[in-house]
Amino acid sequence: MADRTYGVLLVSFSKHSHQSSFVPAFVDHPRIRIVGVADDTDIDPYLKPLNRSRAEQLGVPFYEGIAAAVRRDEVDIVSIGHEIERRAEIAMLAAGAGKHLWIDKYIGANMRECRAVVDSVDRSGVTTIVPSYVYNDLVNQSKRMIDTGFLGELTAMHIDILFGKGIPRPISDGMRKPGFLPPGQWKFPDIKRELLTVGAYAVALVQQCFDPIVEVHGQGGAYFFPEHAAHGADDFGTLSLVDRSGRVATLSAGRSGIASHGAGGPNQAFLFGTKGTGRIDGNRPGIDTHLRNRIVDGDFSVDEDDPMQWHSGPPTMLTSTGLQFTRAALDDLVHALDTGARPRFTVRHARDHMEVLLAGYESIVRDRPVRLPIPGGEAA
Amino acid sequence: MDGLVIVSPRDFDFFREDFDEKDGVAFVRAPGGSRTRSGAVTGVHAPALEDLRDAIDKHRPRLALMLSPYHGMSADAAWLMREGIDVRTAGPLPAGFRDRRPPIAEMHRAHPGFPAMLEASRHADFGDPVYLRMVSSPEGGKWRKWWCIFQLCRKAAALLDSPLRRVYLAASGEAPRVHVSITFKTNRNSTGHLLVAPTGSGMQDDLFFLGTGGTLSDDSLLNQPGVYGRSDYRVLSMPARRRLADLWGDDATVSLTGDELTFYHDLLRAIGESSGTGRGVCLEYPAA
Repeated sequence: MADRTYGVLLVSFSKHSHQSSFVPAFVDHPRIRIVGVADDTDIDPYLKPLNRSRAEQLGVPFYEGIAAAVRRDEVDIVSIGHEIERRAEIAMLAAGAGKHLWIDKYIGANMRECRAVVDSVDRSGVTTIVPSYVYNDLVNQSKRMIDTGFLGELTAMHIDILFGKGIPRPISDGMRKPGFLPPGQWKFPDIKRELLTVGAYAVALVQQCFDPIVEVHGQGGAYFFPEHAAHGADDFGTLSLVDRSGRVATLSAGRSGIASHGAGGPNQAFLFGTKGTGRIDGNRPGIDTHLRNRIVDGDFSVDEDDPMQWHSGPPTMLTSTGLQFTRAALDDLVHALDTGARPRFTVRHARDHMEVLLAGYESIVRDRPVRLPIPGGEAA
Repeated sequence: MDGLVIVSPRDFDFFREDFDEKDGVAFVRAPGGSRTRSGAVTGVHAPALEDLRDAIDKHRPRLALMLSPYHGMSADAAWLMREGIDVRTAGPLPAGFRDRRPPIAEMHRAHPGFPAMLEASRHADFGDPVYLRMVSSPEGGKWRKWWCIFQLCRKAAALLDSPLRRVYLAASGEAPRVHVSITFKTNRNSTGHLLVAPTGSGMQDDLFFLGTGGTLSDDSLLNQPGVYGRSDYRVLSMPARRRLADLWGDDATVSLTGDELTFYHDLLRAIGESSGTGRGVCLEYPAA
């Protein structure tokens, strides 16, 4: 049993997902084998040839139609990299077929979907992992610092996570859509909602260190990009979170533009304790690389096919030597499948995580703090 | 004697180099931290607060600068003003103060990095300010933290070139180890966090400032030398090099309106309320 290899079906290479960045870890892992690529029959025009070409590159079949593909005998794990609006249905389909789940960041687009996924997983008993949040150096170093006891009792946190990507441009008042776009609409051709996209990492770190969150206060409305301003949607935002014990976490998150930071964007945490304040740079360990030719000839231009740099990044002056988080997550999943243990971040964590983010959006819209749990469960 | 400064040993350390060079200034030791930031007891002779009246009789200062808050400060401020001394404080006096309120010295003007930060942030390359985050870690209890918040609010408004508009305060922990988080928005839609750590430390106004054109940061860890020991790394505190002269002139002071004063008194009350209830408190900064 210990040497068993697990077959992974890759469901969609949507440009809004990290499926492409998961592939190297799947390929390299000795206990994992990619067994196919699958997607819906009715998908965005750009996606069908992309899915096919990925399948060809990997030397595996491409299946049109997800339902039949997930039931195939060689599939043990379904890696879901579809649009956020499709993830819950695919997760429930796969869980219903007894397949384990590897889900990119969000398990649903709203609380109703997230709760349904958790219920489905509970019924099926499959193992789940949402790999993107808690296997990185910022989380590992934060937890290690807390565990040393140097800080005393942890009372508060602050996190800054920003992606130095895209090219901000001046925004006139006429370019701003009045008000703030409520939660629920996530998919756009030209932008991502960045509190959801980037703030998600900081919220997950808070989840790992705090008790359940009971109050959320959010702020938005300051913009870097005309594209976001035109939608009234966040390219940057802040959240303040209060946990059940009264501890307070604050965070800033967003897309701050190319070349705004030497390491491609700050990725740091302050941990406030009764005995001291800890500070962690999640971009490190790393090697400072001030190489003249790379700086003088550095190409900071942005590909017009990827203007927000969802799938690329600018030159940076720090070469990370830290943990390869995808490999660590995959090791955790394989260990869980071998032993019956539970991975560090499952669909249950992801459901609570989404609730915090949705409450943050609601708070921005309502301009007041929001208490959790959120009643109801449609958009928020 | 030009001036008398009433200051805790911890705050004195920020001005130590300036005191060492400055004639015509004496200081009286206020309570609040028996040790300096560098860990050594201050080596400068300073009478204790109980000897304030003796110090006034001895030096007859023109101006008294109260840089550190302490219990009984309001009464001392009122007495000094009755003595004809020009009094300034580094933060608001509590709500019960009955006399004419002394002007408040804007402490960020004495920070050596402030002019450079202001200049860089006003440069066209910085673009529009989007987000400002400052972390400070004063020693002492609720009043000290309140003054620290006041000073951070003033510094934020100066850097963002806009008064604060909406504030959400959340506090955690028990006095004196209270952490305070201020989330704010300005009239220009800039946002920010002002964070006051529960315990005093060498970290002072660690600052991260985000504009549409890039970032500015004043990193208190990188800006201080360190020593690798056998098993750990220790920061060697740099002299803070704050200058008293930057607080001396009339242009370095501000007088709060009644509404502004009420706002800051509400902030003080909100610290206790939030840490007691586990809920944040929303406040509006008064319109100009």
